[in-house]
Amino acid sequence: MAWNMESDRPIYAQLVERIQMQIVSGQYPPGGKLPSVRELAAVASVNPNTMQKAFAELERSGLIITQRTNGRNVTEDEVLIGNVKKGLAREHLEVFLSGMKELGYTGQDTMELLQQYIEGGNQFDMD
Amino acid sequence: MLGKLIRHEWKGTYKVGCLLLACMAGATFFGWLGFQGPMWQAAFTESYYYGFGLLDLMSVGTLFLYIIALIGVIYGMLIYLGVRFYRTMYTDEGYLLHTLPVTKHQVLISKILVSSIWIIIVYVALALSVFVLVASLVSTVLAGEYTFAEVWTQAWEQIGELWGLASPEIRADVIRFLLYLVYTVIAGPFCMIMFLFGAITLGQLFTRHRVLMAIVFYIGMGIVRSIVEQVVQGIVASLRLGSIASEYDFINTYMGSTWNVSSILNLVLAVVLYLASYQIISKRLNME
Amino acid sequence: MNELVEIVGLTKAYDAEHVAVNNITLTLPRGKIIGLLGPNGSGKTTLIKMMNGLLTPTQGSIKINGCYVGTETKAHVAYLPDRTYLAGGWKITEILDYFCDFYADFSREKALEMLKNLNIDPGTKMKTLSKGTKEKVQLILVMSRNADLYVLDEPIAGVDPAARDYILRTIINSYNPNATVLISTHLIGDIEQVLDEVIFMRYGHLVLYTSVDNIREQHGKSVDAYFREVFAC
Repeated sequence: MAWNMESDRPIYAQLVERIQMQIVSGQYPPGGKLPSVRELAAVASVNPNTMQKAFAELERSGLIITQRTNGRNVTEDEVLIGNVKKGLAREHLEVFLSGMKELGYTGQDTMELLQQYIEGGNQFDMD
Repeated sequence: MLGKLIRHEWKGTYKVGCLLLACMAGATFFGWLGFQGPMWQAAFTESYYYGFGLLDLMSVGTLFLYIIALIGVIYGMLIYLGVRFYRTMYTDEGYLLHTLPVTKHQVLISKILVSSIWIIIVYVALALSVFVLVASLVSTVLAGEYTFAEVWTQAWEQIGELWGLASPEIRADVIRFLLYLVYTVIAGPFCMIMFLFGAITLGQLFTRHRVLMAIVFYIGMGIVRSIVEQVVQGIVASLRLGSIASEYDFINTYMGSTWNVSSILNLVLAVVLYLASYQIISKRLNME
Repeated sequence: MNELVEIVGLTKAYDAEHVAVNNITLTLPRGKIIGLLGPNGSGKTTLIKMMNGLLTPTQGSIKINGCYVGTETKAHVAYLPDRTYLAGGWKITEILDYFCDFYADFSREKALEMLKNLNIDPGTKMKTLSKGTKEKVQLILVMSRNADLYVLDEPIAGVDPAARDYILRTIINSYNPNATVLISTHLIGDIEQVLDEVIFMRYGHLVLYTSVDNIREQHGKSVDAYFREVFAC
């Protein structure tokens, strides 16, 4: 199944996010082996050069490590993975909070609503 | 690469080629049947025969069809080879042929060689077919008196004797005779095929109506060729006429020069057409 | 020698009014998958046919691997035409023999494997196959070569979506860093994410040659959307 890409941003950037997500979610565990560029490009139906570019980006950030003999692995540095995870969480929160702000909720209101929502089993009472 | 091209060209043509040869064999069989009619028996055995019956009509009809079939096979082969050349060179199939890593000479030579061989085969088959019919007719004529094998041996001896007697008289040159033979068997089919393929290739020079232009070239070149032949022959003959002593020599020389002029002209034309075709497919190829 | 394809001042004019390719100069590197994009009649096929020696340029030149188009370049270019070019009477196995004979870089095993993946029986004759299957067979033949340049003229135009995905995956799997794949198409959306670079053509002119990521970064839209904008009537 080809990965769906958004049309307005560079594909490699979207690939980076996709793979980051797969790493922080544990689909590729710390120290685990990653598929080859070609394999993953075929799975995603994207250009191998673009996948290579995404991998290079991930290498630069330290999230994946290339060993000369052994292909590519996810880093064993769980702190780094945790940080990346937090970074992604922050992005989601920013989007969420800015949406709430547009609706007119203050930070405090949002907190309360969120708590209510989670405790209520993903729903809350309407007044 | 040339060997491979020739092999695949042969593979591509042998089915239709064999089919046409089978047609010729079939026609020969019916021709033979035709000679078995009562008319032929009667004609050569001095027995009184009652008019022209239905069987005779069928016999004549069959022989007529035999001749038509032979002509059909020759032209059928020529048309098939022409159409195949056009199809594999200049239609969609040409996209494969012209993107092979082979030279244009190799492409042309493989096609011309295999097609010429087919023409030779058809001619040999034609000669065999006529021979079989003549043989069957001779056996009918000589029914009961001699076997065909005896007649054949006899005939060869006679021909040999005749040749022995005549050759010094007509100043027949064995080498020249062999040259003619080689020309007829090898250069003849080559010229015939090159004439056909050349016309088809010249048609490719046009943007539109390429097949029509190929036919126009084929007919047009044929007319021009015979005009040039006539003119050159006339010149050659008149040049020689002055030095001719006897009537007999004149005929001999005239026939000889006709042969020379016609065969040399054809050969020159074929070579020119080959070079032109090569230029067109290597420098001016424009596939539709 | 580093550049795979060098096209200089290439023009193909059928007559004074009809210029199919107009003075194109273009250099293609190795190791890229490049889309040749343009509306119908923009000169894509004419350009491709000249690269394969099927059309003689009116002016200009094309070099592949440093050689002018000819016998030498044909050994290293795998070309998929926009039409069926295999005779109907041929069995697929016979075609494989033919390719084995003439192309030193052809892998029979690779072709048989791909035929098997697509459930095509190698014993069948071409004329009994559907149009889509014929196209698949032709693509398999082309992709079973280990060429320097693959030139695919509208490879996905006539096939169903499943086959299209297979074709794209085949192209990706056959990728090697020394070879370049040039794909002409007018269905940009379908293959956009497979491409490194795109060439836009219009009325025989080269309009744009850039990378896919460049278009997305600079214009904030997909190549497909950008293409529609550039070529809007």
